[in-house]
Amino acid sequence: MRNLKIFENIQKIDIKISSDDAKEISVEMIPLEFKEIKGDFFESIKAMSSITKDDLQFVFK
Amino acid sequence: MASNISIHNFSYNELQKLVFNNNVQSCMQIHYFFNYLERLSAKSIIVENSYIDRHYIQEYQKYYSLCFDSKSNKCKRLHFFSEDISEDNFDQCLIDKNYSDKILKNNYLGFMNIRPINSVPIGRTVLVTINKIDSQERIFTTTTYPVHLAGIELWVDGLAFQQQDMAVGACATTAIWASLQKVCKDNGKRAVTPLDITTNGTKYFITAGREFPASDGLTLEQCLEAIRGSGFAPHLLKADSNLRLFRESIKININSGIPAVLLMQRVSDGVGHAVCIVGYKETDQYIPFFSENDIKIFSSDINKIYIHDDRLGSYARATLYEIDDQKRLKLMLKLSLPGGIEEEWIVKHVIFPLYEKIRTDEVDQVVRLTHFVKFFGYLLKKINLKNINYYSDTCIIKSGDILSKIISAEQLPKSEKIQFLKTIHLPRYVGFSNIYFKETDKLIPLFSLLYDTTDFVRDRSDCFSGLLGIVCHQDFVRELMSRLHLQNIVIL
Repeated sequence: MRNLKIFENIQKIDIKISSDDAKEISVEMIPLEFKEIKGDFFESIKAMSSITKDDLQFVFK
Repeated sequence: MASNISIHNFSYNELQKLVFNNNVQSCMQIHYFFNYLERLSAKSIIVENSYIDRHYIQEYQKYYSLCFDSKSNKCKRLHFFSEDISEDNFDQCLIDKNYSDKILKNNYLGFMNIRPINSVPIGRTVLVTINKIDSQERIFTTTTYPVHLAGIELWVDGLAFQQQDMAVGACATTAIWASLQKVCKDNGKRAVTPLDITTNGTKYFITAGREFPASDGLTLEQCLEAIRGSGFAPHLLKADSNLRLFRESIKININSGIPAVLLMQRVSDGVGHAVCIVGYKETDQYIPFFSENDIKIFSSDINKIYIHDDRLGSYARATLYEIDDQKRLKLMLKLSLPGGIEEEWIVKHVIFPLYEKIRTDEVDQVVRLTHFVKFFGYLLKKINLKNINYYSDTCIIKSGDILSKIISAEQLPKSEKIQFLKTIHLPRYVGFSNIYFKETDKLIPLFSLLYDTTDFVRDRSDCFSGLLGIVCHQDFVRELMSRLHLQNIVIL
């Protein structure tokens, strides 16, 4: 399975997080804007599942 | 008693004679398969002159046994090899396993069942993919078929194809049948036959009044019912609202081992047709499927797909492209037929037959990973790190496959790995998304997300919805995730 190749030969990157910065991190800090589901991307996704009666009656031979 | 086995050199004339019982006939599929097998360097055909094919015998039982002009209930099976095989060679194979492995097993290209129906002779056919002969990066979803030839066990990796027989099935029937071959096997079910598909699809709705002959085709509604009746959940998507995500969905499902039923309309005459997508080839570019403010998520796009088209053959290459039709983008498919004819089709829908306990789908998975990546980007900002472009690949996969990979992944920290494996509890199938960033043209893994697939996404605004585990491939990501103290999400 191709997606599982991620577990092979992982290249490491060296990023250090300062302890001051780390103190800031908590799950409560998620701002409200991340809870909004709107915009063209999400609208277009909804439309992908909207099937009409005409769609259902179309014949494939 | 006559021998059931005969051996032939591979050539167009020999193939034609074997398929049409020495009649001077031809069809597009024979041209296609001859060219395909020639690319695979086929040299010999071994024929089992009498073979019982379960898929044909059901058609025989329901339809042909009741015809006034009687047909046989037996097929012929042609086996193809990329090795010159003589009668003496074959006899030696029957008594010497090592020799048989060298001559037959290593050179086996697959088989083709020939039905005793001269107008549509090509029955269940499983050939190896073209990946066997070159190193181009094509992804196929195939399964392994064991084959017994005079007691010799052979194997072929491929996906079954067959020519449409309008007596018992339409193009949509054969496309659904091909797709279900794989998912039935993966889920421990016996592969359904074309007759099962037609019967399931026409159980409640018959457009033209009769179940057989099935020459009127199937409506989209009947296609969905045929899949449901076969024990799978049909996941249907429409092509025209987000073409990029539509292609991404095809890619994700092929990566997940789920062949897709593609429904199209021919540009020249408006006729509807169905094919089964069994593979794809990526473009060399990464294209964003999500872009908002400073967050972009890229993935590889596809422009070539490999289809089982009952009018043509297995693994036929088709090109996907977009056109702007009166300011509305449409997804198109171009297919080359023998004789230099090019057909153009408007892509309408795709159906993925899902295991019945998978209640989410790849679109949900993409939405959830998008939310999570947006949140991760926010975290990076909080610790004064520059935002980056993200790259993703996604699939739906058996949890056992992931866990065994984690066990053998040496670069994951040992104590965290032990803790993760002892703590995490996953359903049979999980949504699996890998997130990377790119540095000097190389994708570097950041983390992998493991999602529940057995419940629909109840709250799309929750970026942790359905998230069961996070595998961090970088230490700083692990530190960030640990700081969040996420409830019910296991971190490695």
